Amino acid sequence: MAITKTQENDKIEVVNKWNIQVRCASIIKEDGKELTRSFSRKVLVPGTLKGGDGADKDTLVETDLSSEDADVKAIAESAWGVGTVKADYTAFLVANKSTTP
Amino acid sequence: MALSTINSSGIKDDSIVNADIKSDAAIAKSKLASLDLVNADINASAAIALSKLASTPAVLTGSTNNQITTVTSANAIQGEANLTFDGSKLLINTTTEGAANADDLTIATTGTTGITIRSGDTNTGNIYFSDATTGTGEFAGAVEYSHDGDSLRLHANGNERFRISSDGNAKFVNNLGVGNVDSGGATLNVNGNVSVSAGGNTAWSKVSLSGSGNSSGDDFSINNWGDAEGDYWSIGVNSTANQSGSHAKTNDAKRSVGVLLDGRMGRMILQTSQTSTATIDSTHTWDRGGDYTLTGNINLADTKGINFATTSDAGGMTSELLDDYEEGTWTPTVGTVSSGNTSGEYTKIGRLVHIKGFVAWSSHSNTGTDNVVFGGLPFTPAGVGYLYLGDSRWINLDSSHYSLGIFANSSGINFKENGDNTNAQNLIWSQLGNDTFMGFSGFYHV
Repeated sequence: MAITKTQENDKIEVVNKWNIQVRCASIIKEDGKELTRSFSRKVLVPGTLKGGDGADKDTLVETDLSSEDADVKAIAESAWGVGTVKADYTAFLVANKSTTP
Repeated sequence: MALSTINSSGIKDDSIVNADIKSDAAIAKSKLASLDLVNADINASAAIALSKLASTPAVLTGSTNNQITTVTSANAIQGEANLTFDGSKLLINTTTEGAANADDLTIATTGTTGITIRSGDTNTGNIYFSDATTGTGEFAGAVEYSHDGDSLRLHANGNERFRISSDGNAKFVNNLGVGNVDSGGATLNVNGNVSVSAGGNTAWSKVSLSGSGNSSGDDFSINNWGDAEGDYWSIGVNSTANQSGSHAKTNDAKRSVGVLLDGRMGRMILQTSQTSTATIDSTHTWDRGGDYTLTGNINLADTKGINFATTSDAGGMTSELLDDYEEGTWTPTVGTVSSGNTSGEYTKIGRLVHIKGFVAWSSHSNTGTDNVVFGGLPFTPAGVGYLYLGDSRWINLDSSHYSLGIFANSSGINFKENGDNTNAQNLIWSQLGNDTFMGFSGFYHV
């Protein structure tokens, strides 16, 4: 009887051009037969505004993808590298700085 | 002088010739030197025994006049027992030939009529259909009965095509079309209904279709069992339906599947089995009351779900498809903190996402004038979702504001200070001190 646990990103979705929704599945198997599967999620965005009081406060500080899994990294770089996605996202952040719900 | 008289008184002359002998004289055969008879010597009405002939000709006996035929004209005979041959057609017991395409030999009676071909007990009796005088054309078609094993065989194009064996089994050598159709390339092509009428309970399948042959038990079978309450029918692969409603695998090493159409109980059951076991489980059951029971999960294809379109609708309804359920964890991102402790859980039902989160730190170094925004939501909100703080420490609200609103939108979790007769304003990092923690939960849509 062998118990194994693996993790895999079983869903990587691009939402609203810049949101990368990632679902990581933790799978526990006994002798190759799956016993349980649980999920952990996160959403990656292209970056954050630098902030502060400087002139460059609305500059986008890009999200560091170096610690992400290769499949997530590839999709994020692909989605964010298209056209004006990063610029659009930056404009979105600036526009929503004072968002009132 | 010649003698003219022979009588009891004496012979008058020694020179006797035929003329001297009286016509009714009785001369003993011993007195004659020889008797050399020719046909002219025999009386027309003489009755000569057959045994007196030099050779005995074939003769007929036992008939009306002991002659079977009479020549009635050139190449034509008339049999004394209704046998007629006109040179091309032979009629037996009739003077009326058969239909034009089968009139060369006609046999008739007023009752059952037949022809017998008797042959050796290890030989065959044959009727050949020929269109040639040599070669296989002499027996292009044939009806053959073999007494060696007792089988009836039909031949076409010089080869056997159909056989009925002594045990009553029959086989076609090639394909069969039934219902006025060609086989169409199939071994059996039926243009019409198929009825398997061997009733009763049997451990053997009523219908069995052979599988690939790569493993035992790969046949597809149909069988039934029943009693006064009704029948159930079963279809299955690697599954045999036996009496009393039991199922068994043919090959325990392989998986199996079977469907029971249980007319006795008014239900349908899907039965399956894993490898290396004889155990068969009823994994899906559809009852007569409309209930459906399964022992596993329902796995829906992406974008598919449970449709409630047949239920009543509320005004403003935009969808009745429940297409997702998911639960898991997420990790709020809170910028740069020390001794951070963040965790979260989520449950998604359809488009509704419920999140629960906890964040804490001993200190942070985020820019004090920046708005406080937590990231890492498990799903991107489609609009604004309202959350609430269950508990919090070390949040320094502006003196003109008395409460903290918290909501999720596409940029993350945002915080607004709300005041009395004043505008709401964003919570900024300088308002969060050391040892801050927040526990929050709420809903949003995707």
